[in-house]
Amino acid sequence: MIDMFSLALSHGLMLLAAWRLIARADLDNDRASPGGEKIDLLGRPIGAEESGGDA
Amino acid sequence: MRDIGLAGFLGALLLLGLKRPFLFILGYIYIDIVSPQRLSYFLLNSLPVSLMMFALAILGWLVTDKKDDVRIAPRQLLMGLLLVYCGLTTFYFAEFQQEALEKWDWVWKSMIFAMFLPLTLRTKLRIESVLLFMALSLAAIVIGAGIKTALGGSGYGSFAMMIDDNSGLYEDSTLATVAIAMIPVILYFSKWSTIFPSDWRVKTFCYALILASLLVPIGTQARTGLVCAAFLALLLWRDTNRKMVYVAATAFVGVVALPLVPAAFSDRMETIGTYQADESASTRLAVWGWTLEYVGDHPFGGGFDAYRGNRLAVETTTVTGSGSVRNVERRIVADQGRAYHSAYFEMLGEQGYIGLILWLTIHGIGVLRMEWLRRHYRGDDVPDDEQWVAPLATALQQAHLVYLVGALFVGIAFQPLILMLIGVEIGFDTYLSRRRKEQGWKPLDQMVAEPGTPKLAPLPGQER
Repeated sequence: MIDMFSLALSHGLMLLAAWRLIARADLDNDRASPGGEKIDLLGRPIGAEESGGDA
Repeated sequence: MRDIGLAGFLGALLLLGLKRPFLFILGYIYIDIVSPQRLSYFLLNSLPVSLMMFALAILGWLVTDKKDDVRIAPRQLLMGLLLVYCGLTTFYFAEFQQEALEKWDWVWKSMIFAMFLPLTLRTKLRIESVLLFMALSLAAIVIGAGIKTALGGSGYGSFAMMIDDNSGLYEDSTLATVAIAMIPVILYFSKWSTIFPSDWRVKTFCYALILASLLVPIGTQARTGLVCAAFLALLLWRDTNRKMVYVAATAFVGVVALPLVPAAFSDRMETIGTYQADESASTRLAVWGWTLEYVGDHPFGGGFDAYRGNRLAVETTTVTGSGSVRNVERRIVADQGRAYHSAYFEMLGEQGYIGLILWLTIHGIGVLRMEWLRRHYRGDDVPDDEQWVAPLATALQQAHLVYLVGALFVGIAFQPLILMLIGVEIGFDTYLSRRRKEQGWKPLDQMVAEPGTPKLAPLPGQER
């Protein structure tokens, strides 16, 4: 019971963190705003003003 | 139920990883710390999940990540050297080839990952997310252990930690050391977290997790944990502004907590002072003595698990009675194949002087670099978007130092979570040097010392 609680709480938080991370453009590009931004299939931001033009 | 949950969690991570391949790296960190395949009775336990996630993490980086600004730190090269050296001792010098290969099997993966991790830490958010996953993965074990302790359970070696497997992080002393070492990182999150922006809920969770971490040494009765906690208290004292208040608060907590501590725990902790009567501690000293002799004959080390060859005769002394009537009882205890119980002697015995020197250099540079960052990003002149640097450098350094103290008594030279911590330190360091280069950075004292330079004015050529 305690183990289940421990696992559920930690895993739930990790899942929530992962979910929040996919919406954060600054995960892959420091200069992007932390808000939502379009990303392509490979996870690269599309149309970031300063993405460096390497796409 | 547990199996479905764990498999579902990994499946979800894999799916989200398709959108952001960096999540594969977080997934590998999780697998390496929690070992869900060991908690599982079907499905996951038959799949090489660790290797799969490892491959995905590297593949994701190779295919999608920017690599034009990759920096290699000297520590990564040193780790590479150490890895090659360990490989040599495993395949050519190992006295116990079979056992050495078993240890090599997980060591190389952890070392490669620790060398690889810094290459991927290109943004502040990535550094934060790696540390968050490390802390939350550890929390999966620590929360349960903490609650069980609070409810009155304890016992060295018998403490139920979800699985009956006393290895890796599920070993009592290892868990106690690592749990205490991660406290500074959790403290950092209580203030600087952005994935879960720091509010009262985040703070409550962080403090509860710290409490659970502090309960781990009590629950597992691991004496090393207590030493680590005392050392951490000292380190935190160094950084607190109100030193007297801190001392008073720590003393108060100690006095309040003492009666609540189970008797079995206080009995065991008292043996720290009477180590001569304690077989475990005396054997430790004997093993260390043996290692020093051994390395005299084998200066290049005996490969992983070389301790299996030791045969020890340990003398324990017990004094009973008081005043003028005292009975001194001496016993000779024979022992063999005793583990090192110290990462330093583990390195010395297994990898010889070369291995120990490399290992110490890697750790030494890590601690010193964090000190450098701590000092250079401190003060009122640091811009707002770099305010987080000094606190993180401090937290990482404290975690590292606590580990180095715990490692005096536990053979955890290649503990994967600590290797990851080193990886984060390197990534954090190279990330900041990249930033400084982009900004044409100079040390703050020089910038401020230049006549006529207003504080934090952009440097020539940087104006927009």
